[in-house]
Amino acid sequence: MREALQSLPCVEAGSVKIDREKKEARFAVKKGGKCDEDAVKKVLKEAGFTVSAVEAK
Amino acid sequence: MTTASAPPAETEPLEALVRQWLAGRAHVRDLRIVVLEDGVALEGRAATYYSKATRPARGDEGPGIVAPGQPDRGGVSRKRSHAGSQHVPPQRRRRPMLSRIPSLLVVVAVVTLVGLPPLAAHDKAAPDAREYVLTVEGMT
Repeated sequence: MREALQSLPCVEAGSVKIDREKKEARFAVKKGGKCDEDAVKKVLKEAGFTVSAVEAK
Repeated sequence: MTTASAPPAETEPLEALVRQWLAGRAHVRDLRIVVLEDGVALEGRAATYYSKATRPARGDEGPGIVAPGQPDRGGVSRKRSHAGSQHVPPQRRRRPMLSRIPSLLVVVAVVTLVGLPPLAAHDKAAPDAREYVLTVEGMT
């Protein structure tokens, strides 16, 4: 999953944190970058995961 | 008219002035001014057809500005003799439908080539989001 998220151009390299207990994945957005939720979901789906919720902070 | 070509450097200030005049009224691409012996010709490309006979700045004499393909009206198109005739209010000239088609085609062509902006994608992207927290199913 980490590699899948890091493959996104908007994801800040090395910022991906995965909490398996909470079933959460966090990542920071690159400065000036914008992430498309659909693209995030698609990448994770291709990696075999299903995103049930997305929260932008 | 016979052509007496002038160096581009001489016509550049005039071209800039004409562009300034046209700003906001008509978008003319590749605007060029060709100096002729008996006047100047404005060359360029526009999405719509603009033709207008106007009196020259120096007075009422002279041919005025004549659009290509239009007969030379001698600059009298704006002058009407009212002697012996009743005043008729000027009617707004309607452009024929066919002359509107090129501008419509330009808009359609631009939209076809460029495409509409992906509004849905922009809506789903949080503009100022610095961090995302995903709840993911399927973790082992």
